[in-house]
Amino acid sequence: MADRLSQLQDAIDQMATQFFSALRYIGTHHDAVPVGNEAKVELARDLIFKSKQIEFLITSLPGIGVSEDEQQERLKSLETELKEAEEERCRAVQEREEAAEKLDAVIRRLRRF
Amino acid sequence: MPQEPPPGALSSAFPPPPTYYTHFTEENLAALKSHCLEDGTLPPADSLSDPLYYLVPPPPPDGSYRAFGEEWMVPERYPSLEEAGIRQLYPPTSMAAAAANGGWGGGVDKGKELTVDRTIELRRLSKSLLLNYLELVGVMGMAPEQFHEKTADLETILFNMHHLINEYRPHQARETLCLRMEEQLERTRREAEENRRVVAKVEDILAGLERVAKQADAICGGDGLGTGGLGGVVGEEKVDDGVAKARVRDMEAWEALVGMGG
Repeated sequence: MADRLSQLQDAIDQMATQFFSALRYIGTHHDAVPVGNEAKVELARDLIFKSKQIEFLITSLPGIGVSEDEQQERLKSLETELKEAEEERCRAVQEREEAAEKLDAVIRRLRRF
Repeated sequence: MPQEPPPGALSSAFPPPPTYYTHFTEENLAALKSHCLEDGTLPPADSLSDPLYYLVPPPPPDGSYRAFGEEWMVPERYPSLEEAGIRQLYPPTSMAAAAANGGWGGGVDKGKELTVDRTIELRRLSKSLLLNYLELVGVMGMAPEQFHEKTADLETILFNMHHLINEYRPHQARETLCLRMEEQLERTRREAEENRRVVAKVEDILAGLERVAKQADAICGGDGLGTGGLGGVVGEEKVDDGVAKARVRDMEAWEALVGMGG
């Protein structure tokens, strides 16, 4: 799925297309008689719905209320944490390999009997 | 001195590599080395003859440069709406101000205001988008030939919205990076934990084996393996015999384990 910003931009573009197609519908489907209320209500409802969707997307944009410096701070601390975690992981893998070797040796000795 | 690029080099979607790469031959590189200045840096390109001229990287461009048929700014920034000839409907954002001051993140808390500003402005714009459309529909009902003004307004609003959203992209990119890093951190930690868990399990098993070995030792020592003679029926005798043999084998294995200090 596209990111929020692209979703928002798509929604805005769809809104513009709806503007056009609503007017066009009213302009072409009337047979010299005004278009019925039902169709108009539906068109209007669609537009309002799209508008609400846009608003929802705006409010759910990521990282609202976070400044760039805060982001930089966070990135830096995450980087150090990641490094530590990676070292920790390497140690754990080492330990696991040692344990595996020990187990292996035990099994090999068992086979001899 | 630079050669004319072959046709299509600047405008095609997948342009061929610049022709000067053919000059990076062994001989030319050796020749260039002999021209190097005393501190090991490359000599200025102007002082070199034709083939060597192309081996010296040009100075970084300033102002703007062209790539893939588009103009790019140095330092990179998003051209403002005014530069594109469109009226800006929202108050100048602090990011624009920061960019004008020469670079991103000029201020301490500007980003925070910025994002909050931005959502408010975007909402405002989406409201006026609807309102303007309503007016357009009204105009179309009364004087359809005067639609230009309203569609132009709508267009301006749409451009403004898109521009605001695009300006937001670097912010989102950093935010996404943060999230990905958090995920990776979580994954790394989980893996370490999982490894530790496996190690603990293996050690548990080894310790368990040791205990069993001791027990087996005690039982076998007490019994003296004297089970073979208890069975009355021949078939049972055989089974018991097998069990006894297996036990001897096991016991030896346990002893080996204990010997290892497992």
